[in-house]
Amino acid sequence: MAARALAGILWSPNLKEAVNGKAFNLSTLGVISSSQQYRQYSTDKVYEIRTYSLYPKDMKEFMAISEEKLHIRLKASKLIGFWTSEIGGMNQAFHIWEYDSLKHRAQVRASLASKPEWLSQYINRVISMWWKQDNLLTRAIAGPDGDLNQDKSNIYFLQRYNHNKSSMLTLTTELQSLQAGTNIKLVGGWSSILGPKDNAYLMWQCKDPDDFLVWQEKLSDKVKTVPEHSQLLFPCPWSPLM
Amino acid sequence: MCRHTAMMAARALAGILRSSSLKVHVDPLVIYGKTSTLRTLGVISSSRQYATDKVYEIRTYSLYPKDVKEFMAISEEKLHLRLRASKIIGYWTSEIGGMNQVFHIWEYDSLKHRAQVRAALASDPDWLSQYISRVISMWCKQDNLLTKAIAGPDGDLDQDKGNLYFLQRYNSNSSSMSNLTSELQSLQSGTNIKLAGGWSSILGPKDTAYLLWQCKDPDDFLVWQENSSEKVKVVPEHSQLLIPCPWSPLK
Repeated sequence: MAARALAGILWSPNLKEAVNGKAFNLSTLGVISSSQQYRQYSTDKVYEIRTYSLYPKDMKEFMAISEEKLHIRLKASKLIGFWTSEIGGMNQAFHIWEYDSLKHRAQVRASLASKPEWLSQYINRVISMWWKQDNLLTRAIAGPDGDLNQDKSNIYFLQRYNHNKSSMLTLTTELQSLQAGTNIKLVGGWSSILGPKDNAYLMWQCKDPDDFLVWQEKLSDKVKTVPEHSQLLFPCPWSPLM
Repeated sequence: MCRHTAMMAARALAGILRSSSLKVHVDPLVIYGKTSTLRTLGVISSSRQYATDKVYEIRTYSLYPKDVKEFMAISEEKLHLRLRASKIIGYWTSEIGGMNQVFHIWEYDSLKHRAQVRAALASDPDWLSQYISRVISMWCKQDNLLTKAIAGPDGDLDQDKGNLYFLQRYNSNSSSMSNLTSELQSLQSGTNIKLAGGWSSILGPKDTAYLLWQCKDPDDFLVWQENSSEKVKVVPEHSQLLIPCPWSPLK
């Protein structure tokens, strides 16, 4: 009750102006946990989405070295998930990292850059395997409605939309209502703030990839907004989302 | 003359040059066909930095990931050979919104001046042997475009190290950009975010304009960018976080 009352006060237009022009909410004030903004993802953190394109001949060794040594990286900051692309992109690794802020990200990267075992046991061994790396910074726009499957053997579908954040929020709500009754779960949604404008990603988890194909085809009849690009992703063994 | 008197004289001269009656007499066509400003006439200090009658070449190099570290080392050691040949505005690596990329802006008086600079470099054996031949295989792609300056820094930019830069690319023509830039400049007052410059394409892709912002705290910029895009309604097509290289005049 107190939280709701405080929420009412804090979201009032007057207070928004008063507090130095910054849009505060209860999570940034630490009154409620950030995980209540969206399940698992908070609206005040930043999410870096990285895509690496590898030389085909190096994929196998990259996966082996990563399985052995990427733990050095994983202990430095929070990984949401790490996948390889199966359809809609090949020899690609796709990964999402959470940071409290860009300053936090800079600190993490500075400490990794000065860690000899990170450089010698991982980076120097894999750096010639990448022919391209891309990244963008995003905000979370959706989180899983319910619990995601924690056992291995899930399949993921990544949809990329060319829409701004407010269109995406509307779309995501529609899509979430249409996933009810299926085994398809929304894992999360992210919308770009640095990198290409109006780029949003929705990530879906399912067990049966053919169910997803059927669902995606039916949706575009109802929803009218089609992703610019969609991919089938497989989680890597070290991915928290598996 | 003392700074105060110089400022007064500059303002008086500015007033005269901007007056509508004088405009008729001082038609740009009469003044050697060049649109002059007080900057190019050397009357006010170069804090505004960019001249409307010069050309600015924007170069983007994409490097192979494995070569970035060595490229930076060789450049730190040898790029002075290039810097003495013509004026560089700044040189950055891209941190977010592009990876393994360097972005650099060069000023030339004209395309003829640019050709002279490049011809001199091409016949400079030190430049070729100590730099170019060592780094040339590290670039997987190079792009360039030619621009005119559309904005300069409002006030003095931070000259100490440790600044971060955000580059916004817009797909707008120069008259839309000049409206947008004025709006954004008014929205930056009261923040620690400074406009470092603006450039609009004249060769290369059409209607491509860049605004470069300097700040100390990158998270402040994210918040400012989110707030200003609500007010201004025009969003950059692409935005990047850039880190200045050690040899960059803009640090």
